[in-house]
Amino acid sequence: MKLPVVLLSVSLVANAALIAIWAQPSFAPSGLRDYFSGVRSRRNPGEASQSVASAKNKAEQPQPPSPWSAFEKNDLHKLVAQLRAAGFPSYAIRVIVEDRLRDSYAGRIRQLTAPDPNAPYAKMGSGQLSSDRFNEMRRLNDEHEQILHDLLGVFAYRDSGAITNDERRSYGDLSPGKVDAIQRVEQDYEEMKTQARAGMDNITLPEDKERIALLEREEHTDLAALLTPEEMENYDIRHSPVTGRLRQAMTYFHASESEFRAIYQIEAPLEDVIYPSSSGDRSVDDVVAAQRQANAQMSDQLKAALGDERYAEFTRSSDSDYRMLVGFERQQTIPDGAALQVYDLRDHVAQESTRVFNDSSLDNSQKLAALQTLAQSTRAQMLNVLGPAAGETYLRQASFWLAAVERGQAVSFTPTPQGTTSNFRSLPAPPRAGNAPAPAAP
Amino acid sequence: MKAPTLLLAASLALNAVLLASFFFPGSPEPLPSSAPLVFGVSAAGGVAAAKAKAETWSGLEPGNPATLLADLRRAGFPRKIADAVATAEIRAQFDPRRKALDLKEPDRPFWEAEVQDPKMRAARQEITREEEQAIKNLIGSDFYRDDDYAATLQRRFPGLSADKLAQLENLCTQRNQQVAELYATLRGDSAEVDKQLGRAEAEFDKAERAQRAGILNPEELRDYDLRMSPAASVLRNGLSGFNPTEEEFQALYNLQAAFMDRLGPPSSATREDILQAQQGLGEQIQAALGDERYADYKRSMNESYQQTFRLVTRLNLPAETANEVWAIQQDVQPRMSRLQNNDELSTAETAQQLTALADETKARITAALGDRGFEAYRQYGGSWMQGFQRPGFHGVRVSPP
Repeated sequence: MKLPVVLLSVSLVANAALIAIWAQPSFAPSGLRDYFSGVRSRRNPGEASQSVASAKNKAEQPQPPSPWSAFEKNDLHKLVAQLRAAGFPSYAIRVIVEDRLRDSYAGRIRQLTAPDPNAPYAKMGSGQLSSDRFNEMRRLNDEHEQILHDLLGVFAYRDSGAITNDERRSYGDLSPGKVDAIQRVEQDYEEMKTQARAGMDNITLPEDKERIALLEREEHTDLAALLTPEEMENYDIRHSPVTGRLRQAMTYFHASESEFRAIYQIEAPLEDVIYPSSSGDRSVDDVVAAQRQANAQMSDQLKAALGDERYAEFTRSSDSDYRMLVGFERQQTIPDGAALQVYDLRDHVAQESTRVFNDSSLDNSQKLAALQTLAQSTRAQMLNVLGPAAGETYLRQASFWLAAVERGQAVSFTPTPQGTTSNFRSLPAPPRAGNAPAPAAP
Repeated sequence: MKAPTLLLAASLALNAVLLASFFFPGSPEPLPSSAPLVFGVSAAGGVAAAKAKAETWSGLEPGNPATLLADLRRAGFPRKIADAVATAEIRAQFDPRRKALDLKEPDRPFWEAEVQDPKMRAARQEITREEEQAIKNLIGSDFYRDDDYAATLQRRFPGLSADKLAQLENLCTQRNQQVAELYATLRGDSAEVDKQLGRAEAEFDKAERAQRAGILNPEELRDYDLRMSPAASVLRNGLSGFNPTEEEFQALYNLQAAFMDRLGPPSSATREDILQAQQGLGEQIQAALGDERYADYKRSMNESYQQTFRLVTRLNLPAETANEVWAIQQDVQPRMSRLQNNDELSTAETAQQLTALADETKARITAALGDRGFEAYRQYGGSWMQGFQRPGFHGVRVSPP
């Protein structure tokens, strides 16, 4: 290739790069950005002619220490005081202090987490620490957290000194200091539970369950030492698995606080029966029988506490079909009121399919045709109300019962606090060809 | 003058003008203050401190993160601290917009779950996008730096020079940037996005590996691959019951890595492609290991065996115990199946023989694992024993052991 062409190519590429950097300085490597920034900031049209002399003078004079060098690096209390005196806001002080702390712990953490460099490739570990190393890591983390809190107080993890809305929901109206203390306990125990679970290697033995349960009891004890009895009860209800399970239904039920607490007080004692973590020594039939009994008891108590109308609304809110429909309404993909309109079609289908099933004036093929017509017209109504997009989604995911009706089954629904159970009755199957009864003898 | 020469002259002139504009700006940006930066390090009280304070943080133009960053660096703040402070400043500037959205949302009681309002979600996503863009504009490619990867490199490769470690970190940063920028452009449903992303990441992987080969010598590159590559991780996760020698591991690694390169991203391969490729890989592994060790390898790939092996380890029993239990399973399962499908036996005879077989199975496995181990085995590795409940020809089921 001729030299002028090569030179031209290089020159054009250089132009492109320089134009890009001129337009968007962040494209430049940071060292270059700093250099040009420094050059630009030192230049001034009036001093251009004196720049050489002044630069020479500057080079001959001892350079003043940079402002950063005046900050205390090793005494973090002094550093924080200096930064505050210099007007640095809390979030800036926090990132500087966190950086200094990370640096000071980095060497020790690296030693603890360093894998054995001589470990064979096939046996390189999963990164899980031995119990000695884990305990030492915990000690270092605790130390790190304590220093951060000693230095920054409530500003260790928050900018405004106030608790967030999410924290208020998790802990109630507690002070920022108390919330921080709770979170440190939670984090500590979560690390211990994570370490315990990692050691299980996805095999949970009975002693593993005991270990986790012990950690949870100890965590509760430590929290109880920080909180008043009322605060502890408040914490328990907010973090209970019963509340976690109820949240979805509550979001659609819009319970008042007294309604929620009434539901909670009824469901909590029956949680382990209705949602057992294991069957223990019981047979599957025994477990199912106990669940059925507990569900019936719960339904009666909830009806008495909420009244018939609110109970019906509560069981409806527990139904995933209903929640999907309301979800469409909230996303404004269907008109207001469409959710209930489509949901109520279910009851109509249940009544009509049962009527057809019990109609002795119809033979089985007529019943099948009627049920198919019922299913198809219901499907068309749903699509009409929901529109094509929401309608197809709903029909695909939620209306398995409609498909059953189309196959010739009568459906009925039983609302329960855990959602709706569906029950089906099938028309008798037609006799197989070749098995027809012999004609009567003449 | 010929056109190419004219063009060259014009281009060179433009080079000179652009370079001059950096070194000799017509209107340079003024310094935030003409006085040198002062930080009130004495922490003294009174008028002096107030004056010092007035010339300090507020004198840095916190409202202008780019100037703040430049001034912090000029003031000698370490690069990562200056970056972190300027980034925190940007986030603080976006906080009021987030808080304004929080105020618009109704106060949700703790017993209700969060409801995804699409307009609110879109508004929050927009704030996050603008915030991230502002940070990227400020600190450039450092936005994509992965400190965890850097720490992992330092731990696993203590012998690598600082320069090589830095170059590897830069490769990772570049890759993160490529993936993020590509992801921002992808459209379609999640399966389609996954496919496109998978294909692109496979290309990035190839390019990254080629660049890594330019940084590390062959021995270092091999060491890196054997410690860090997806192929090596796949092998380590699946071979615990096989206990390969180093030679076997390296041979398997070579085959696994080639297999994964050929197959490409899983989201793009069809089921037929995968099955065919796996069969080919199996034949190659058999040739590499020999028949006896290949049988051990195949056993170690079985999910039931893997669970049994992990259980044996948890019970602190010798590793060979997993092989014993596996041998019992291999013996009993065919016998169970033959009994269930034997039409020469009556229903009662089938039930009696199946019960005897279930009792025998329990006795043999308990002898190997102990009572406690047997109970755990029913859940971990022993689900095949539920097969005693599956009806065969006679529809006979017995309780599993």
